Formats: sequence, C-alpha cells, structure tokens
Amino acid sequence: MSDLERRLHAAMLAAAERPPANLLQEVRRRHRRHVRRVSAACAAVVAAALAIAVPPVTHALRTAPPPQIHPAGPAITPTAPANPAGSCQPDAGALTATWRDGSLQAGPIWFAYARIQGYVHLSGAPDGPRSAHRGTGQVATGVMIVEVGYGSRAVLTVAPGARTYFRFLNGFAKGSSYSLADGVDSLTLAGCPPGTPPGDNGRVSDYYLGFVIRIGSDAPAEVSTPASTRPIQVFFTCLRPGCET
Amino acid sequence: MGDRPDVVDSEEAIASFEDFVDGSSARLFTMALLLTGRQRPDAEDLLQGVLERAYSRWRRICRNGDPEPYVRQMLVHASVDRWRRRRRHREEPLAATAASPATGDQAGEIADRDLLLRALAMLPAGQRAVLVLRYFCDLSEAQTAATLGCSVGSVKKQASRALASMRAIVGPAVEPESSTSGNEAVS
Repeated sequence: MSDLERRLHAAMLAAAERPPANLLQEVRRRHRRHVRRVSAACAAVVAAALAIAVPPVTHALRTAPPPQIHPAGPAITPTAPANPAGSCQPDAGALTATWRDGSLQAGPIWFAYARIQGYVHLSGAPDGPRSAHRGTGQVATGVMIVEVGYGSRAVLTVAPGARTYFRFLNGFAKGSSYSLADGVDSLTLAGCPPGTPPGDNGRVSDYYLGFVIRIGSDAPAEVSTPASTRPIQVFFTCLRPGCET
Repeated sequence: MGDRPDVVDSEEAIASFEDFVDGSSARLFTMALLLTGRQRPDAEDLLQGVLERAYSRWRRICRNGDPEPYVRQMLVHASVDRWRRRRRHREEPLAATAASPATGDQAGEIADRDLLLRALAMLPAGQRAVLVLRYFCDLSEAQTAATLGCSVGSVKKQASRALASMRAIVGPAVEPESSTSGNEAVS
C-alpha cells in the first residue's frame, strides 16, 4: 500500500459522521410513499386495461339485447315495469374480472365502468360537476350497468329539478330511440338474498339500465338505501354530443 | 400448511431490519458520505433510498446470510446511478489553501485528509466506488469486483486510474513518496 493509499484509508476512516437520528422513520415514511405510488400506478394500469377492455364489453352488451343479458329478467327489459324492485339477477352477464376498479360505488351499488366512461360522478368528486346544469342540446341516451350487492336495496331518484332534462330508462335496447318521456324518475334496485350463490361478477345482482339526458347537462340524482339517513348525491353528465356510454 | 407463518416472518423481518439499521447505519452512512463526495443531504437521501428498497425485500436479502454486503452493493450501484443521472456533475475546484497542507501538526493532518476527500469527491462515481470499497470497506480486489459486478482486472484498472487522478489533483504535497515521480515533496 502506497503512502497515498494509507493516507486515503486514514482519511476515509476519519470521515465518519453520525447518521441522521430519524433514519428509520424516514425509511418507513419513504416506504409508505413508495407503496402508495405503486398502488396508484397499478390502479392506473388497471384503468388503462379496463379502458381497452370495456368498449368491446359494452359493445357486446349493447348488441346483445336484454334477453341475452338477462335471460330470465323480465323486470329489466325495455318494456318492463318501471320499478324492478324484488328482481334478482345474480348472473346476467360477465363483466371483466376487475370491473370494480373502474366502477363508481355509491352505497351498496356500483355504476359499472363509470370511472372510465365518466357518465356519473359522486357529488363533490374532483373531476365531477359542481352543480346542476340544464343542457341546451338534443337528448342522448346511454346504457348503464348497475350492480347491487346481495341483500341490499337502493333507490335511484332523479332530483326534482332535473327531471326535465334527465330520466332513467328501465332497460336499454340498442337501436331503440328514447325520449325523456320514455324515462322514469325513480328506480328501485334490489340485490339477491344474501345466501344466493355468487354470479359471474361476484355477490352482486346485475341491472342493465339506461338513461336519457340532454346534451350539455349535469343532472343531479340520489342513491338512497333503507339503512341510510342521508342519500348519496351523484351527477349524471353529458357535456357534448357523443357522450353516450 | 394451514397456519400463516408469513405474518410472524413479517414481524421478525421488521425487527431484523431495525436491528440491522441500528447496527450498521453509522458505517453505511459514512460510506454514503464518501460515495457522494461528502454531501450530507445527498448521502442521507442515498442511504434512505437504499434502505427503503432493502426494507421492501428484506426477507429475500436475509435469506442469503449477512445482509450488509448486499446493502453495500445496493449503495454503490445507487450512487453510480445517481451520478450518471446527474451528468452535469459540478466540479468543485480545490481551494488554494487546501492544496498546501502543513506537515507534521494535527491541523496539517486534518487539512491533508480534507484535501484527499475532496479529491476523492472529484473522481467519477465508478472510480470513487472502487476506492471506497477498497480503502473504506477494506475489501479485496476480488470482493470489490464481485460487489461491482465487474472483473478483477477492471477493478485494478479503475483503482489505478483513480489513484493517478488523485495524485494529479492533490499534487506532490500530500505524497511525500512521490519523489519517485520526480517531484520533490515539501519537507
């Protein structure tokens, strides 16, 4: 070892400094942040995968008339009675395995793929509308798949002020044209009894519904359940032509 | 089969990681300081990042025995990566006063060490890593090569270049034996 090497060795040993006192806490903090980032990235990948997978699925749902989606579900055909309460659709059509990731949950119900398609938002959501807007354009129709947890019951109600520009369709058939007069102001959705075997989409009942909305509008609606005292407010939105789901 | 040893393993892993940090953080932090050119904030950031990555794969690291060599290796690679990312590495010129350390007294010794460490900081990260592993971690050339994932020959070459660069940077004042190269040491 040369003198330079000896001096370097001594200098390095003498360079010791105390490590930061909060090293472990900082490592844990970084780890938590890392886990959050990874989770967010995974969610983004899932959302992207769903965005790719959903159009074919929804296309298939649209092209398949309700009898195919709900082979035994007269309550949710386009000609069904306005209130499908009590119907039970445990296995009316398989969505993707990760459908919940792209869906919007409001109490016991999920609006399938709403996070991707953006047709409905929770009130106060950062990317959602802030207030109701009556559109000025023509009416558009959209399909809406709603999943209801087993043993749950929910009522979807259009806010009174929005009924002139938004209504629910108790069923949806591709190719049919709907007007606001065809819609209903309220839908009662009931999940199957708790003991029912899970269907393709899990322990949820499938409802294949629709809505009519005036283009350019943000329509408030409420999701209420027997158990909750305060309903959950949501906004259905259609900002431009072609907003149909 | 039916029980869940993962949970116990996980708790043990956390305790083992904390013990490891308690026992080796001083050594690893000094190493991080040397690898980052004695930039304390950079060294803290480097070490925290490496320990975080080690934490998330701790059980796997421990499976291979002593975790310190592995973490040391992570530290070296992370420092080289960091240096590469910061291509526009600022070169800090040595202060004129630092280039002429006094000899014999303690102040001179401190100045000498400071000069050497500043010269070390001016080296490319790869060469610096070789010197840190060789002279701070006391690894052999073969162990250094294994840590860096290169050949022994490459380690020798890097070390030789690094020492030559240091001699050129610090000049003859720090190397009394440098009379072999034709320069007279300051007496």
